[in-house]
This record gives sequence, structure tokens and C-alpha cells, in this order.
Amino acid sequence: MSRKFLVMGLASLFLLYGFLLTKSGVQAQSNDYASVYQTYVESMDKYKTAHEDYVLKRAQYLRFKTQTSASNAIDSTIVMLQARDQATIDYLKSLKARLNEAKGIDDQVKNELRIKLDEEIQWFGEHKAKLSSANSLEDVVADSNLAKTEFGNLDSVIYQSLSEIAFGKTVDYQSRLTDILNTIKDKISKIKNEQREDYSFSVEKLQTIDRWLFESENHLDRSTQKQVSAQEFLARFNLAARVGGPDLYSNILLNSNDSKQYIRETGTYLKEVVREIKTAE
Amino acid sequence: MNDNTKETSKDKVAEVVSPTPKKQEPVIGLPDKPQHEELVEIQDQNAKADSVSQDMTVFKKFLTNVTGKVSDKVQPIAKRGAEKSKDAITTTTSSVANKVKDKLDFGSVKKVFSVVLVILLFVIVGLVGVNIYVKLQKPPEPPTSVEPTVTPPSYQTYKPSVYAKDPDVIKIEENLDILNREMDTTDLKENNLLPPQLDFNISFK
Repeated sequence: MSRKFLVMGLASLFLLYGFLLTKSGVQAQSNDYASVYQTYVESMDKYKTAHEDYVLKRAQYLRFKTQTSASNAIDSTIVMLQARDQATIDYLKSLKARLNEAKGIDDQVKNELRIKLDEEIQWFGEHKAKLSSANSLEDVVADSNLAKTEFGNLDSVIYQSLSEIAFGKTVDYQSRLTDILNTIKDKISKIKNEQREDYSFSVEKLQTIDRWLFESENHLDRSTQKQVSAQEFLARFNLAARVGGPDLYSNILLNSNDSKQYIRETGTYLKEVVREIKTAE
Repeated sequence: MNDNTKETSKDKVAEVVSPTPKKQEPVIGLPDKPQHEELVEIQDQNAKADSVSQDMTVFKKFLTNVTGKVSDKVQPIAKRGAEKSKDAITTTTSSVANKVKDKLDFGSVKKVFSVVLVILLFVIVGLVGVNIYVKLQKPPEPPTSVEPTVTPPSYQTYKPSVYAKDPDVIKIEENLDILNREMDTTDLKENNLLPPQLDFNISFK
């Protein structure tokens, strides 16, 4: 008897521990983006300060052209470049964190983007580590140019991530609204089959409800069409070839916003259906 | 007897209708007036009328005599007076004009006229300036807008159906509200995650 109690107690403790773990895991995931983004904001502040110092030392060097001013210029530039690399790394990390919690994105696409972002984070990390070994202004400038080229190649991964996040939102909204629509349709079919006098609606009322449902479905169809257009633009991104940028992102945003608008209107129509159900004749 | 009464009534009617007085005949039953008395009365009346007319004619004659004499005497005197007054007026006006001409110089008149004009001009400019200043000092009047009158919606009493408290319906409504609110408050564009503005143009030349 006591063994049974012991087993049950242990099992309940285990379940409680598991529940707490999963809860903290979820909280960590939801707080992940916020904390990473906060780090990114702080590193941007550090970069701005370092950049102001670099501008000053550069001006002094260009004016005096002394050994000391050159040495100061190299030091301040290295600090600025490190801060710039760190800001880029933190930016990519926050983008990745946002991508992790985004809904409506295909898992495969999400994984591809995460891998690409990790690669870029690694590249800028290594670049940052190398910077301290620069001894001359020429080396510093060469290192900066490397980062410039790499940052220019980030467009495809950055804008594809942003496009997937925007598109994923519309997919999520549509999916949730379709679920609600199906639930309402089930409920209405039950009402239509109702034999009890108090629980059945008149033909006119049911016709009104059907008209709202018909309009809702039409709007959802239009929303789907807009999503198809957005998907066509999304397909033009190519991570391997580093193809895609702000132009594609603008087009995807445009179509996604149209799709969202149709979904929003569908939501209003379904609200009318609920109002009809809740109101007596 | 009857014929006599008829005649008398006819005569009475004729007396009343006819404007000219007829010789009164003696009325039967009334005492007669004596004829000599009537004649005396008529004579008296004629005498009175003749005396008034004579007085009027005498007065008229007197008046015509007097006025004729007065006009004969006055006319030459009036002619003379008129001629004298004409001469006096012409002499006085010419003398006054000469005096004014002597006193007033045309150059000074022009000067006075120009000064008055300049003063008038200054007064007008000043008035206009004051008017503009007052207008500028005034705060601009708010545009008068006619507020639209709101038509009150017809009040419809909510009559809940049997499904008003149905858990399925309530759940559907909750989910709809959450989704609609989320769509209203969320922007598809991630403004915070657009690429940062970094300086990549490093050079020391």
C-alpha cells in the first residue's frame, strides 16, 4: 500500500517537474526574441559611440598625419569595426529569434534560413576576431571592405526572412479563420437539423446566415489568391545564389497585406453570423 | 261736400310740389290775412336789397379810384429805385472782386491747396494702415462649420436566442474576437528588424 503511494507520489513529482520545465522552456522561447533584440539595441548604441570616436581620430590623422594620430586612428577604427561586426551579429541573431517564433512558415524554409543566418553570424564572428591583428591603416581598410562585401550579400537572407515572417502571419490568420468558419458551419448544420421548436430557426434567418457564410468563403478565396501571388514572389528568392532583396520584399508585403485585409473582412462577416445565431427572431 | 275736400287736397299738394310761390288762396276754416300787410312786407324787402347793392357799387368805384391813383404815383418812383439798386449792386460786386483779387495771391492758394492735399493723403494712408494693423492683430476667426446632425439609430431590443449562452457559440465568438484584435494590432512589416544603417565606407584619404 505504502509502495503504491510512493510510486504515485514520485510520478506526480515527475509530472510536475516536466510541466515546469516545459513552461519555462516556452517562456524562454517567447522571451528569447525580446532579450536578443535588447542586446542588438545595446550593441547599436556601442557602435554609434565607437563610430563617433573613429570619425574624430580619422579627422585628426588627416589633419596632422603624425605617427601618433595614425596609431590612434588604427585603434579607434578597429574598435569601431568590432562594434560594427557585433551589431551585425546581434541583428542577425534577433532576426533568427524572430524567425523561430514566427507562425505559418514552412519548416524546411525556416531551417534553411536559420542555417544561412548561422553561417553569416559565424562569418562576422570570425571577422571580428581577426580585426585585432591589423597593424596598419591599409589592413584595417581591407578588413572593413571584406565586411562590406559580406554585408551586401546578406540582402537575400535578411529580406527572405522578413518576407517569410510577413507571409507566415497571413497564412496563420487564414488557417485560424478557416478553423473558425468550419466550426460555425458545423454548428449551423446542427441547428438546421434541430427538430425542437425552440432550437430551430426560420427559413429566412437560415438564409441570412447562409448569405453571410457565402460572402465569408468568397473573401477567403480572394485572400488565398493574394497569398498565391505572394508565394510567386517568394519563390524568386535564392539563398544559394544570393538572389532577392528589398524589391521582392515590397511586392510580398503588398500581396500579404491585401490577403490580410480579406481575412479581416471575413472575420467581420463571421461575427455577423454569430450575432444572428445569438439573437432570437 | 266731398268734391270740395278733394279740390283742397289737390291744391295743397300742388303748393308743396311747385317751387314758385303761388298766390295763396284762402284756406277754408282758417282766418284770412289782410292784403295791405303783405304789400308792405314786399316793399320793405325790395328796399333793403337795393340799398346793399348801391353800397357795393359805391365801394367798388372807390377802390378803383384809389388803386389807380396809387399806381400812377408809385410806378415812376419804383422804376427809379430799381435803376438805382442795379447800379449799386454792380458797383459793389465789382469793388468786392477787386478787393479779393488784391488780397489773394494765386501762388499762395496753390501752396495751401497742395498742403491740404498732402495732409489728406497722409490721413488716408494712416487710416488704411491702422485698418490693416487692426485686422492683423485680430485672431483669425475659426471656420464656421456646420456640425452634421446625427440621426439616432432606431433602438432594437436585444432578444437572445437559445444559443446565446451556448458554450460552442461563445467559444467561437471569443476566438473570432481574439483573431480580429490581433489582426488590427499587428503590422506585417517588421520595422524593428530592417537592416541596420552601418558605415562601411572606411578610408583615410
